Amino acid sequence: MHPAKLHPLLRGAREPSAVVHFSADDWNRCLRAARTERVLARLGYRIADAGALGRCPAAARDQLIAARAYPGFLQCRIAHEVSQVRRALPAADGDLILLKGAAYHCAGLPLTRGRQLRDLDILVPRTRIDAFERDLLAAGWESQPLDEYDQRYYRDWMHEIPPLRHPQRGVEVDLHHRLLPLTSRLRPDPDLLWESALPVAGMPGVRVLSPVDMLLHTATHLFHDGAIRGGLNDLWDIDELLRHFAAQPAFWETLPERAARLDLGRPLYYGLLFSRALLGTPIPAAVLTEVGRRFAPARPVNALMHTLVTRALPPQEGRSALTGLANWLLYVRSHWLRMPPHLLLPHLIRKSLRRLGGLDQHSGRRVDKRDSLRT
Amino acid sequence: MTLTELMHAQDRRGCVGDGLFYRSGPFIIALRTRLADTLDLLEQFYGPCWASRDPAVAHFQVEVNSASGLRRWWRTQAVFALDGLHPFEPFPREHAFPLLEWGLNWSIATRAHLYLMLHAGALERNGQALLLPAMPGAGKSTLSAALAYRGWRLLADEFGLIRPADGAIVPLPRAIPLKNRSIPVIREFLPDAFLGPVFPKTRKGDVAHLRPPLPSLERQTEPAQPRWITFPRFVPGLRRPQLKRLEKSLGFTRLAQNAFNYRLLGEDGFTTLVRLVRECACFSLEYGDLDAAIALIAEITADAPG
Amino acid sequence: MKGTTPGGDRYLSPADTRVVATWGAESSVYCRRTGDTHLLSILPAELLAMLPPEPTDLETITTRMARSCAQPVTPEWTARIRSMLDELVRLELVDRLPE
Repeated sequence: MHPAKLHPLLRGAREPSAVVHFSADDWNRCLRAARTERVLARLGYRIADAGALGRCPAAARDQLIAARAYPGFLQCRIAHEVSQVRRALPAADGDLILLKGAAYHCAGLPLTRGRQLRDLDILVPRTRIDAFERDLLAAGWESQPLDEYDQRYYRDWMHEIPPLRHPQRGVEVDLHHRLLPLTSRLRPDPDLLWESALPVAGMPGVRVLSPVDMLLHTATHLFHDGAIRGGLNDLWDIDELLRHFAAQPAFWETLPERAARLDLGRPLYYGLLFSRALLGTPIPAAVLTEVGRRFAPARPVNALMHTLVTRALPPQEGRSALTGLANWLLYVRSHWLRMPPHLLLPHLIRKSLRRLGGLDQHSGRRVDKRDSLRT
Repeated sequence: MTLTELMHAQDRRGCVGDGLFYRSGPFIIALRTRLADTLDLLEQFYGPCWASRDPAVAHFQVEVNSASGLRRWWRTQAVFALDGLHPFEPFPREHAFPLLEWGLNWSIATRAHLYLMLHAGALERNGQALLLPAMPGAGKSTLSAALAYRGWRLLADEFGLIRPADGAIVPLPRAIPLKNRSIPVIREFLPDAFLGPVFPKTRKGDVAHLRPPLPSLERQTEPAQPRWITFPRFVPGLRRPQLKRLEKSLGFTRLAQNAFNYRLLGEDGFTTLVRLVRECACFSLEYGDLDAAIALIAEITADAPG
Repeated sequence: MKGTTPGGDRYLSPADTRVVATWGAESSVYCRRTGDTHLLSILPAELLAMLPPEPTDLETITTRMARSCAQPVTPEWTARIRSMLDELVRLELVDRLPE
């Protein structure tokens, strides 16, 4: 894709100092898309790091700076929830691994700046998950009443237990025992993750995934576990993790082999490919070649995914039939990857029945969450 | 160019295409609308404000138009969009202007976190500002409107925007929505001020907008330093207004509860609010009569605060 | 059971967890851990300001507070300081380390 044809938001992300040449129209498109994709504050930090914030038009600068407040508030809220969870769990339960946003934040990674953090995702050993849940329930967290179908859905097919929430704080805590649903086509072994997880300074009992595993999880989350559409924020994570970890010795060398070991080669391939294509992430040519050779899908699938993802991931302005089709195909793909076909059809039917019947009207937030889990 | 000049220089139907850009306080608004009555009212209320047809970087990209789809065939409606999304249910078509004003206030309250946003009227005299923080229904708009036509410059009737960097109040003079019983009160009190049409039975009852005095629109980019904070409360029939000095600790706590985004701003909110309360004298005011309230406010603001 | 004997638990208050503004007799305190703001009256505010950043036992705290307030150390005084500390722990302005 030629950079000049890219959406101004992507142009700003790729070359932040170039925003000083934006027209008013570029800026308005960029700011609007950045809000929709939840990356406005992140873009602002990128522009500030490039030393260009002072040369932006005042109205743009106002918004880039004002957008920092809400992520800061959310991060304080999650950091507090982490401390409450630690306090509630006896040491006998063993360690826990923070995932995604909470991990970036607590590990002090630069990509946490401006990142909106809603839920707290935690990985715990499968053998301990019931004990963790019991301890949190005893300490005041509540499990939301779910119907039998939802209970079964979580317990039998998912990689986590139903979300917990403390009534006074309202943060959703998701306890996982693996990265992907039990039914998923990919089977990363959680034991491998535990072996290389790293401690968090000043937080005994709390760990985060190793840099390589963290990147693989982020790529898997976007390209295997979700509908891709609306995932620019996740692609931004991949981009920033790669830029940050690139400086660490042996990061690039170990990445392909580790992906193979964890059965996450395909998501890694997509992660590198699209992060580079859309956000201009610098990736060593040798790594790209090796990852392509080992993990790329057959050529027609590869071409199709390229067409679909480069339509679905960039900011979507207006509606085109082709983009709608790309969104839908990727949505179906995400279900296909998560569930064996005999489960998939009844689930999709049930889901559309619920939409039709408005069964979930009374619990709007939960519907959102389930959708984000399932799609 | 001012909004008035722009409207008269151009065929206003031109605003349909790329939209109209205008300034309200510190904000640039990009507005798209095909509704001629809304454009007329916009000009009447914000005529002296800067405006342009050429694209400008906007803080808010909004649209107000009649609803599309089936429903418009039996009941015409107006919809408000921010960044192409519709945060509210449609209004009746004839309430398009109040919808735009209300939608913009909502947009500001949910996004303008560059400022500590107090729910307050704000007025300035000799560079020093008076804040009137209050919940809706406490008579803050009525008192702000009355003071604005009695020697004070109106900075805002709804949003006390406090700039963290220097503690200044940044003006946001907007059409003042008067509700129900306030409409006849102000009509009698300010017979010469421009009052727009009455929109009956909106969500907040009958609403009519009062235009801020022209100088306050012309000087809408000039901030002022806050010196007095007065929590007003309208008490019907109260002849002699009651003014009490308020402990600063109490003033601080009440303002923290009053602000739109105090909690969201975290430590910056705390620091900004502490500075504000340190620099201001705090009072509570109960009033039933506008003239008496204005006289009392003149008394307490005559000297520098202690 | 933890902390049943007076002086068993130790308390500390890292100064970087809060910002304080004092208004005459009362103080507003912003807690960086929770994002909450609290209004403290003079005694708990003094207690918070006096707590050292290193763990300190209840007896030492009680004695120091009594000295600065010109109070005798009575069982009532100790109970009062203790319940104030408990409240500050609940607000997360103070940490309690079990014996």
